[in-house]
Amino acid sequence: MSKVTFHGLPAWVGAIHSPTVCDWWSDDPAQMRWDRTLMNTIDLAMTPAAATAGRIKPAQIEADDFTGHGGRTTIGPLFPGGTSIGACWVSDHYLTKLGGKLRPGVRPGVSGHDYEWTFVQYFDGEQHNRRFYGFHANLVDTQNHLSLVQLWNPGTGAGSAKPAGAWWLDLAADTDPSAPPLTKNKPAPVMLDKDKIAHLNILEPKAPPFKGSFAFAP
Amino acid sequence: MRSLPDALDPADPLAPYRALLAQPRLTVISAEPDRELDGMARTIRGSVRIAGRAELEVLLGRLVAASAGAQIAPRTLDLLGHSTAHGALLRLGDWVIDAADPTVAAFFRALAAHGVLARLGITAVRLLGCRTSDTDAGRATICRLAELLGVEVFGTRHLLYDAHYDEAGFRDAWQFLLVSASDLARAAQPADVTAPATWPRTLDLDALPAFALAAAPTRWPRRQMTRGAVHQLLALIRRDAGGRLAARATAPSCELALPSAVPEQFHLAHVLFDGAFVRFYPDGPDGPVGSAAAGVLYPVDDPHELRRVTDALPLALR
Repeated sequence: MSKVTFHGLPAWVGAIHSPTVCDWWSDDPAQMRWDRTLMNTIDLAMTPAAATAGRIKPAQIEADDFTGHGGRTTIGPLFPGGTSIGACWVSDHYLTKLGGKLRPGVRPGVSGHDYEWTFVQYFDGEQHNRRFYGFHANLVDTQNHLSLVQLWNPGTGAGSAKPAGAWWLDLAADTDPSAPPLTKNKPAPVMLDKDKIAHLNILEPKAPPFKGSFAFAP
Repeated sequence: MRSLPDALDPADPLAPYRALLAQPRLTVISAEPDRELDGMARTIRGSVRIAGRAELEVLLGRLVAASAGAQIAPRTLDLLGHSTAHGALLRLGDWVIDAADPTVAAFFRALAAHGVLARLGITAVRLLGCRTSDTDAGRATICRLAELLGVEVFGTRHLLYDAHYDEAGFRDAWQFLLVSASDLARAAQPADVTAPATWPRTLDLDALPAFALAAAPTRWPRRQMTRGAVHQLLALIRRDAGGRLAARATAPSCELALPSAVPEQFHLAHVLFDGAFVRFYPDGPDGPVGSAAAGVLYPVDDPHELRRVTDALPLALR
């Protein structure tokens, strides 16, 4: 079983090398004097879908799939017609490859914890390609196998925003088994199953900030 | 950022609104710190920025006042803003246009009741945000608004950019991107969404909607509660621990009919998970009563005692 962690970053495409390979900035290039040395190269075809199909190994994944293909990346997916400003969800392998040049904790204009911009994807094994998205959460109550959990919209957990709602969840079944369990009335990260989130009225993180969503309002 | 029009002539405060009524489209743009929307507002002549429902209400009210005695031509009401990422619901300032939210539905119902759109010549409402017809919640909202307002409502499955607009508003050349409520009506399904509220939610029995039993058919055994049984029930429930069930509808073991303050009207609740939870419907039955979309679950301290109380109740007539 393999596990890959992804980090969501705003992305500005600065150069195109092939239909799927581009150089990109993780901050507004206009604020950085269009410094090309700050760009990073990525292949948007090196995705979880490619790994699931057996074309690459999970350790080779660089970015999440395009939003229209079940992922969260919104740049690309194919150039020159693809989107050039959006979000790029990159793997921890990719960050390691860059040698610390790109730091996921730095995002302009947001007030969320880093884990609200993180998700994990399993490959094979007992988790069967499941995906878990990070949220800021607070365990309020428990009853039988269900737990009442407050969840914040991604990007708002570190600010003064109220929770987006409270839901009765089966934490044993619906969260990443490798993550530490929640403690009552102690706000903490929780990694929720992607399929479970479909039942919640909660926003997905948007990047970069000016692309909208109240989560980024100053 | 331009907001509601200011009167240049204090003696004629409605003059800017009469100017808006002279246009074939009324374009209302979400007021928020956003470069894309700022750019569109600069492009579209006579567009108005609003920060939420209250400002939209003020705008429409002043337009109605300005329309008195004027020749009214048919026009569209174009609501332009970003959509929420998950449900693709249009957001105007701090207001999300989600027809599953009873307050949103009530606003549009009131517009129809006062004939606001007809008085302004508005023949269609267009929700111009990215993918507003691309989700279940978005399609349900479009269809519900059309039903409430009695006019055609449009959304789109596509991403919208500044290139889709010119000085007159949404360009006619891009109309093929839009889809109407009529087109969606057959496929529309209620969305599994929640309304904004304070969570966890506290149970307020008196604020629950009440129904005549004959008008609220049920698929489950319905037990009619006495006031004494209601007191017993409330003593067993943790009333400050209400939350949605993060799952599709779960079949209840029985339905409870609690007497309300109105004779022959009852609050409805469902017993779930063998008495471990009771689900109430504080937002009303958006969708069939019993659907996960509308209910809030409260935990029961002693499920065995709850079953004992409910099993002793008489079955009500369906």
